[in-house]
Amino acid sequence: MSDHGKADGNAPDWSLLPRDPAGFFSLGEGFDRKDLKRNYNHLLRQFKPEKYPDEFQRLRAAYEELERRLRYGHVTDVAANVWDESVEAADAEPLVGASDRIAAEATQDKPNDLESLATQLEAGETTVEQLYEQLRKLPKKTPPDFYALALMADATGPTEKLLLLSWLLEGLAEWPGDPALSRLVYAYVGTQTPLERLPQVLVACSKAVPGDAFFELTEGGWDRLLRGGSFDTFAKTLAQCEEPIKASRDPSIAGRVAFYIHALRFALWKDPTDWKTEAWEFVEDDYDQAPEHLENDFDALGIVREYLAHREEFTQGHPLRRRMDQVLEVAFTADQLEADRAVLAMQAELLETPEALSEAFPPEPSEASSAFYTLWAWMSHDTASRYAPPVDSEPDYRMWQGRIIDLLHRLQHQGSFDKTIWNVMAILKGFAEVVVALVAILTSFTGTLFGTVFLLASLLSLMAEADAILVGIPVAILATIAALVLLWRRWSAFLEHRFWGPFCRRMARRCYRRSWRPEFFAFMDRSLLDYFAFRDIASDLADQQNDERTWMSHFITQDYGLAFYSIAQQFRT
Amino acid sequence: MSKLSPEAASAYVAHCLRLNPMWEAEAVLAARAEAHGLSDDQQSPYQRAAEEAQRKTELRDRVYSLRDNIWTLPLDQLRSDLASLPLDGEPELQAIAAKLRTIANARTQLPALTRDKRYDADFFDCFKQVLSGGPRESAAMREQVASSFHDKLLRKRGRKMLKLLKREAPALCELEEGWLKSLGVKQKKPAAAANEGGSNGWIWAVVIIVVVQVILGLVRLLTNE
Repeated sequence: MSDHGKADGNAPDWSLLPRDPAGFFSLGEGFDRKDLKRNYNHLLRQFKPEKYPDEFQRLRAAYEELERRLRYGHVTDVAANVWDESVEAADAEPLVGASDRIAAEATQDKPNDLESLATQLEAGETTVEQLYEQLRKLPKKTPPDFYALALMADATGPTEKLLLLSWLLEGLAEWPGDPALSRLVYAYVGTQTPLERLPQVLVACSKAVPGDAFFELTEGGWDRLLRGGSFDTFAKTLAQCEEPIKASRDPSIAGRVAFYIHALRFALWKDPTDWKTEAWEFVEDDYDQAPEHLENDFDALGIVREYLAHREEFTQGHPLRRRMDQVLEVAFTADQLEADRAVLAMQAELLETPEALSEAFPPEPSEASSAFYTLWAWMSHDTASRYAPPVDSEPDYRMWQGRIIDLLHRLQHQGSFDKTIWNVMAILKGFAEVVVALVAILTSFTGTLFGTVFLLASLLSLMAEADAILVGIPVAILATIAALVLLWRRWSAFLEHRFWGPFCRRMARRCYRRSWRPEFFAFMDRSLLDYFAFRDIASDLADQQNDERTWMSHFITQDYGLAFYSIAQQFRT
Repeated sequence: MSKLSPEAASAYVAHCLRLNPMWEAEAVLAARAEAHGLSDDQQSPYQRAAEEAQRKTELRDRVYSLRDNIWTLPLDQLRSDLASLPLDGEPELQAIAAKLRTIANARTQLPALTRDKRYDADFFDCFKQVLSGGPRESAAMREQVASSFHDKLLRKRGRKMLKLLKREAPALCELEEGWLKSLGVKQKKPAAAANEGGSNGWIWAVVIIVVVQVILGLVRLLTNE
């Protein structure tokens, strides 16, 4: 193993592995999977596989193990067991013959010293077949015995009989929950079991481990079956595996809930059967049994369901939407490497063609885009944590705020055909208001004046016509003012809501699409500013003004095109 | 797959017996894959993804290191380092490497710039930072320079330097064509803000004048009668 200390001055304490992975990752009380991932990524930067292959392997294994344990709800450290004594007893006393030693240790009920067995094999004192036969005959076998038997059977027997797995499962049946045997079964089922044998192997596992622990043990195998086989095979095999588990009457269902949440991530996209509906109902009904660290996963599944309900609406229209949808599906259903490649290629395409993004996502509210955006942002963030270049410094928000103010101000005064139409209509609206006001005033004034004169002079004969006019003028003025006060507000609101408001909205949308939006894309491109920072600065500015900048801010807020572009910019090198 | 030879079986078993499957399960299976000649695609998908990510990060770090030292590294070393980068399938890094090659080729022409009386050391420093900075640093620097062009004196000096750069180092200028072009365009200082659709005060002045005129006319008409 290479020198740990050379990677960084703050090298982790490797002696904590494998017993205390949480301590190794410097995780405090109440840590969650996010904390684990952050600290793991930090260590990954120190221990790159090219320079520190051994440390990288240990780091990765510790992370995967702890992450899975968190998902399945057991964060306690691995219990002390016979493995350390057995595997690391390199300084044992001088060896006698292998068969004597095995017999002696069997009578003492102590684990076999695997190191000494290895030394004997290397020294040619015995053969694998001889050792295998001797170990096989032991009346009581420890987990290391089963491990050695698995290796020896695998080395000497026909591989198609899956003897490695058979012995490991036998060991687990005798030593339920042994962490080392479990770890090896998990890795074997998840990587080296031939795909066509997986259903048979999974059923065998369910018989050897007929309890809730089965789900965690075989998760990797199910992943492979889901990705490489048909969904029907998955559903049938799972039903077969659940029979011995149900028969075992294991009261715990946390593992099953955790597994269903894990499998639904795939099934929601690919399942043509009813399994996903039944599984979702099971998870919903038994969510209180789910390990606490799965809260976010469950929420994410809820968002996936919400998106899938709008999926058809989302994918209709621009072809870019369909391609983004496919990448999202790959991210949820393919293995991580394939998913990462698809996401990176898509982000590069979005960076290259902002105009396509702009066309695909018109600036208008959309429930489908909203649900899609949440998933896209989450998935991109996850990929960015592995691939995006590190951000060395925070943006200078004060400087960018000034640039945004300048930009919005420039756009406000920038001439265009739409702006000209808008301004002409504003003038016409002014004239219309004047004409209506004039008609209202004149009608009201003359009507009241003539009415007063007619009433006082002709109808009631109270005074002469000239005197009636003198009385009528102030009455008419008062009546006109009263009419204006009473009617003008209503008329103005009517005009605003029915005609002017919708017209302004339409014109603002046209200006946004044709003139303002390309400028915003260009600004995002050259500033690399986060969409939310841009949106908030524009919004603050709009709050202080009541002009076109309010419209700009309004459309920026619902512009998913800008938001997707901002996400893609994380990947800019 | 066939059975292993006795020697291979002993070696494989002895090797794996020294591994603790509790935290070296992948190593056990890697040894098994090697012994039985299993293909590499049976490696853990997470492992492959992590290795891919690390490979990309490593490559990116190498490109960044060259970018950071583009103005100081000996040209021969720079060219050979750039040529040795395995950039197939990395379009973004290829673009950076192409940019670095252009800078490397133009470096020999730069000393001639300093002898010209139009040479502006401050602008040139900024230009170098834009060319060789990270995306965010370059973006901030571009905006700062653009902002400084509001100052008449700086703008005048900057534009002279721009002309000099375009003449002496056209390849470098092409790398930042859009930005340099925007600096060359005469910039308008933002005017004071006005309300939407302009002020409506004049309309109401017209209304009041018209109304007063009409009322006076009516009164005159009625009193004359």
